[in-house]
Amino acid sequence: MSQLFTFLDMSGYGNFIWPAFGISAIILLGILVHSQRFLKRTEKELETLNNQVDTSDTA
Amino acid sequence: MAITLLCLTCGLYFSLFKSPPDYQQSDTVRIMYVHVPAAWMAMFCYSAMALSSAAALIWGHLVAQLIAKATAPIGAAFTFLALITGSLWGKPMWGTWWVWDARLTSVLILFFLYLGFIVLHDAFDDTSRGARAASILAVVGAVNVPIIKFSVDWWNTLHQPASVLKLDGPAIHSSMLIPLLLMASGYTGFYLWMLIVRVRAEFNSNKIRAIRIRQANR
Repeated sequence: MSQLFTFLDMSGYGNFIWPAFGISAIILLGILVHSQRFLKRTEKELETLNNQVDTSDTA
Repeated sequence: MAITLLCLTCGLYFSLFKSPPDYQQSDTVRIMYVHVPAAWMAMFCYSAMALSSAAALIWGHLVAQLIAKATAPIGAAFTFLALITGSLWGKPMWGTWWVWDARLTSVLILFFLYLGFIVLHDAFDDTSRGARAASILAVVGAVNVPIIKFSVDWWNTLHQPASVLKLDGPAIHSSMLIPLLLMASGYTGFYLWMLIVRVRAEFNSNKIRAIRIRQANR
């Protein structure tokens, strides 16, 4: 347990090191989620529009 | 995608567990493994955006324009990370979160250039006018990239000079260079992965807009 606390303390600089790694993870995950959602949303919208076009062409 | 995740996982393992503390900076040197790759990517993404914008302006290439548009939010995220992690490194080492010196200020300007590009792209009803205005901004703003790179040599600054990308080779021990390069490879792979996803999404958006215009003109 004390080894874990020593590791997390990072020679007394844990308050700076962990936020740096944490913010990096949050921002990169944010970009990942936003990009995937953007792609899914446009794919879905395009599919709906293509179906509408096909239906109106058939009619 | 797998290579990116592998590089990031190995990079994080080496950064946090295997690399030694610095003899002067102690464990704070570990911030380097997220700060330096973010700063490299901030400049790399801007260079890619400016080159794509130039290609879009000169040849009217649609893919180049989409690459520039897709790169902007990713580059802005890397620049934001470089600024925040740099600040978190600066406080314990320099005694301040921020100084208005050439390196930090030019990176802040880079962040505003990214934001300007994103806002300008969507500022016009006519999307081609927005894309053109944003592309011009990206090309003109490219002058900031060499200023960032050489700011530590041209002006007095608290920021340390280059220690990896040097003509006479890296001035950094392999125990620190390996995790740094692993993280840099992971960040580069992440950019390419996100670029592919976002360019596909932008393609879809263009098709959606074209279909909507066709429907409206019927």
